[in-house]
Amino acid sequence: MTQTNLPAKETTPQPAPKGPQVDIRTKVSRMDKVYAQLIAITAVDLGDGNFELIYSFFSKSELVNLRFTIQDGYEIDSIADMFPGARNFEREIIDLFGLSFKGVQGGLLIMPSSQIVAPLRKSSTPETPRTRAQKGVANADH
Amino acid sequence: MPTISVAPFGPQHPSLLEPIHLKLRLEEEKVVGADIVIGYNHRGLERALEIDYKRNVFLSERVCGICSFHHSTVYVQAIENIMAIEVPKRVRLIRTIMLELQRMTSHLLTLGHIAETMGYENLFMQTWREREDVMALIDRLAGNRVHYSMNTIGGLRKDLGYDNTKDIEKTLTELGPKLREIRNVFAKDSTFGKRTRGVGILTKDNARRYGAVGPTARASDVPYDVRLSSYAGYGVEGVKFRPIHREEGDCYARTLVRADELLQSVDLIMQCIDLLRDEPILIAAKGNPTGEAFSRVEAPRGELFYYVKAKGEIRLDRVKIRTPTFVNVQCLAEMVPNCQLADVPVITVSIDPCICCTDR
Repeated sequence: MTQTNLPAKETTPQPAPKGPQVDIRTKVSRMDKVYAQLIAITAVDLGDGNFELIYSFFSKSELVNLRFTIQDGYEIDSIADMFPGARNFEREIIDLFGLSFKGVQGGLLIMPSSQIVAPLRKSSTPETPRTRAQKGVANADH
Repeated sequence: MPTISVAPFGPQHPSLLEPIHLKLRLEEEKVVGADIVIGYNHRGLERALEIDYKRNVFLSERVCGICSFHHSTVYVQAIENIMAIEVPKRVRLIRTIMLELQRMTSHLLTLGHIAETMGYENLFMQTWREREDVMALIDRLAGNRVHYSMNTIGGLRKDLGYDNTKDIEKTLTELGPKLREIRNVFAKDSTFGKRTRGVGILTKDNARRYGAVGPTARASDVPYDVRLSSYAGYGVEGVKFRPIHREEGDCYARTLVRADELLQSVDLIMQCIDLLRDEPILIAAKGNPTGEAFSRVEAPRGELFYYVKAKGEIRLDRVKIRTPTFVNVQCLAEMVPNCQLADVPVITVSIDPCICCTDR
């Protein structure tokens, strides 16, 4: 058995956001049929209101990446019924990027009642002791 | 109609070293289901890693204290790949030696932790005593016991000299018989067998569907080992190994896979030392990285995955970390049903959870 690390086998980039036409489930189900193993789901904020989702699979001794471009606000299909291991990845993306998946709730890494919302978005400004001091919050660290 | 009660296991529990919470649904003493809750240690490291790609070598090492060198190696591999730097063979071999030494410390820690969780104090102390020899060896080689700070983009910050390699050979030659003795206790001890055989079974199909990695997957007959993908010194001609895997899928198999990998690590380190030749240990990296890379290494708990996207600046666009426990911990939902409440600590520890790097 041999595996290749890099470069990964890439799929053709999907067309720009078209809502319901972004068919994640069909492409992922093909990976399920060939007994592929899900490695990770990576979200990247493209900075123009769109997000790239990269589904990385280990299939037939190769790293295969399926790429989808998703518009902010679009409800993404969950693949947790095919790959139960995907549920935590989806919950993590809900917490860190503020995207939504059908039938999946966040709260994995950040509590739903927290004031921190989608910290990995480009528009998010991390709160530091200096920014808190500028806002006039006294003894913010205590 | 049996009554279902819910009992919390963690996040603070005597048998757990780090915070993980299992909401166990019980039918008297039998577990019928579990919800796994993580996130108590979230530190926002993925955002912190976007700030400076050069300083990240040290920051990535601090994502986890037990597999620190694996984190820095997978990160520098990603940047080297983006910047098209091909590191010398000596660098790849020395990285492999340090990676395998760290795997030994991690596996010995886990084996001791499993023994202690079962109440087998003698075995726990014996295992951690041998671990101390490896930790002291790493201290002599790197100057640190936990964070080695040996990696840098394009090579290494510290070389291994002739004295160092002789020191490694001497220490591991003395350690070999002791590790075999420990392995045989885990393999043959009747008390240990009764507590672990047939307990916490993960089937081969579930291991694939949940994306299990590392010894957890290999104990369920999934011979998935990223070292076969020839990163670092594993791809150097002359370095040979075969992934250890078992078919049982229970706690016993997961423990034995780790015990056997200890001996395999000793063998791999000896192979690498024989192949070391005089070569530079650093290739200068020029400019800032532009592009993206997927990088993987086989950490002690399984596949460690980094995605790095750079856009020609000191700042990085995105760093994604997928740690092995992040996927393995979900397998607990399949392992604990139908077991006894008293077996839950052993099952949880048998996947070797590292929550600190899982929460990042």
